[in-house]
Amino acid sequence: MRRFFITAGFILLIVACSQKPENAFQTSEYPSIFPDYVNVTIPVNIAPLNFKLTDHFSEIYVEVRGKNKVLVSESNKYADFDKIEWETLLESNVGRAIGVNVFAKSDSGWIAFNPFSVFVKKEPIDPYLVYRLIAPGYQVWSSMGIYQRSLEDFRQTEVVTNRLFPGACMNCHSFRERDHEQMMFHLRGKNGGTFITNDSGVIKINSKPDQLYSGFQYPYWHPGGRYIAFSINKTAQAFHATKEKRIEVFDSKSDVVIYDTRDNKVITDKKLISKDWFETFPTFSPDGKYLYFCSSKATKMPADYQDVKYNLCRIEFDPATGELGTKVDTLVRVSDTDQSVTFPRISPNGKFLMFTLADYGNFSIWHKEADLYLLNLETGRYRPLEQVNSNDTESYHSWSSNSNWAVFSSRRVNGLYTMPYFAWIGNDGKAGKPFLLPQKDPNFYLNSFYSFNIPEFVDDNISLSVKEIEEAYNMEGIKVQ
Amino acid sequence: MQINIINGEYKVAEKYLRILETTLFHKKWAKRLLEVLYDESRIAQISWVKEKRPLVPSSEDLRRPNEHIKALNLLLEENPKNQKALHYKLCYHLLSKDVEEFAYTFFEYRDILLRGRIPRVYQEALVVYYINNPDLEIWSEIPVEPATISRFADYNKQFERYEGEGLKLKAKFEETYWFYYHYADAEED
Repeated sequence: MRRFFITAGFILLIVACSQKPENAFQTSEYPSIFPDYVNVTIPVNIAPLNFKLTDHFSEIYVEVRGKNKVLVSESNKYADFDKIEWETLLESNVGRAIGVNVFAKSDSGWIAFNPFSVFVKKEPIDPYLVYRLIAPGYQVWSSMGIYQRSLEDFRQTEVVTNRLFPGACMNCHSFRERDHEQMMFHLRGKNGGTFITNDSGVIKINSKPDQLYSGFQYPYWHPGGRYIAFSINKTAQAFHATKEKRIEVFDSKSDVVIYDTRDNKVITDKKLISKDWFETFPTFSPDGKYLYFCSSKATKMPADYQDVKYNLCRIEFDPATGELGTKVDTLVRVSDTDQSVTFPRISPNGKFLMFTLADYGNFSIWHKEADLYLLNLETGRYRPLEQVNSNDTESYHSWSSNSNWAVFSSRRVNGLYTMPYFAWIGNDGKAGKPFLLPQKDPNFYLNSFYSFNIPEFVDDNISLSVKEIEEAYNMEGIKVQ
Repeated sequence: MQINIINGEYKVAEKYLRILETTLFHKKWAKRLLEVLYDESRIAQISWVKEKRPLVPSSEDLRRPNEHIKALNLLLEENPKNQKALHYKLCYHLLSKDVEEFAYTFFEYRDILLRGRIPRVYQEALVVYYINNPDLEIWSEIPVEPATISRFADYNKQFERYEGEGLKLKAKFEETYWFYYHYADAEED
């Protein structure tokens, strides 16, 4: 009998959760929600946009209205949608807006907020996102790791973490054209090196050739897969005295080299290695015929750190011979911007180049003024992505395989913890309002002590063998010629 | 969290306060701060905010992670009365066995340091500096206690007697700066 009452009570609760409030007071304001999904543009295959109201209410009721379908939140504490129902709703509303009605129960009764829209694009987003999770510290770290997250649901799994390599730091994960089977990352510390995965498993290379002053740093795979361009940097970190800025990370030396994975050798060229210039952030064009990079006049570091400003340059590259062209073109000039370009990334269709622009330097994640810009490679014109930028930092970014979505790092939520946002980029270069990576529980980010670094799309689930990584880790790295 | 409030980074502070708000022992404290967060006039009235904000440097400079003395100097240049920064600097020199830099700093800030009794360990370090630099005029202003001087004489006597064998000196002088100076291994950065 007791069991019956408990069950009956539970059913009543469910019913109560699903009842649409009547006679609610209508307000003209949008609800204040976290994450901010008001009027965002999303791909058809994204996981449910669960959210919470930022003000306290004893109960909420949320419904999403699309063509021929109304989806109601399963929870009355925050908006929590059934995944299957959500998928069906989005699929039947591609190219349209779905409306989100939010009701909240206050002391004086129910309030009905102004419904907001979510615009559903038929162009899908790549199914996985890979990022590093690390606490936003300065000198020491504890646990960190590279993780992958399915964008179509809420599953996050480890790719590689430092639980296996205590105290080790890992960074700069990179893929050949979003291929989950061709990945590289650096692991620093004892037994460290550059780890590359390919058909034959995991190999470790000792990426500090004797004649270079540093090991490989910022990578970019050539689309053909044979080459990886790297910067080599003499990097240091310093703290600001005043409270407006926290830290400064700068190079006192940097150049760009190309690693030939087939012949295990480093290709160097005077146009990319110069003591008068700092070259960094190499990026190949999707057709593989150009190498883009950032270049600043070398200055006395750290004394003149505010004078380091990077141009955006490119040089021809011949994948057959591994040779570079003779002429360096400058696409975005410091003389025009009086600012500094970082992270050039070209859309797979070759149409646009997205970059970050900050007041100076190359570590834009610590620059609150850092914003994203879009360069039209056909016209040579560039402009800020106003729809995408915020008053806080926007920094690292990468493109989806269909060139319609960009993922980028932003510190807009609280000014310190970096979170991954996605923005629609139309074929005309116009952007939609970006949205934060949805989580099952919208309190996830508020309770997390980790930043999301280097968000990169991949085409499938990475299944790296921990055993293989461990074996490679314990072996002597292949010495680069 | 407190550092973020002092620096006016309220959004970051709010993140930590929201988490503390759910804990057993810090709940009330977090709730009280959340009530006033973003209200500049009320935040400015909190005692620890009032105390710390004037100590934050206003002129910009960069310091590397291992430039500890530069960091302390930045604090002291703008606020010579920053006692914590001053004592950190003095002790940093003592730990580094840099008695000369310790003495220079002590002399520079003697107006502040001589307002009370000179800490015993500082007196012991000053005596070491005095041995090699007895002719400085400034000594007339530095009241090292006679007991320290006589203990130093005793230390030296025993040091010679036991031919520098630390274990024999340990029982009596382990707490002195002289013993640290002779026998401790200072770690490099």
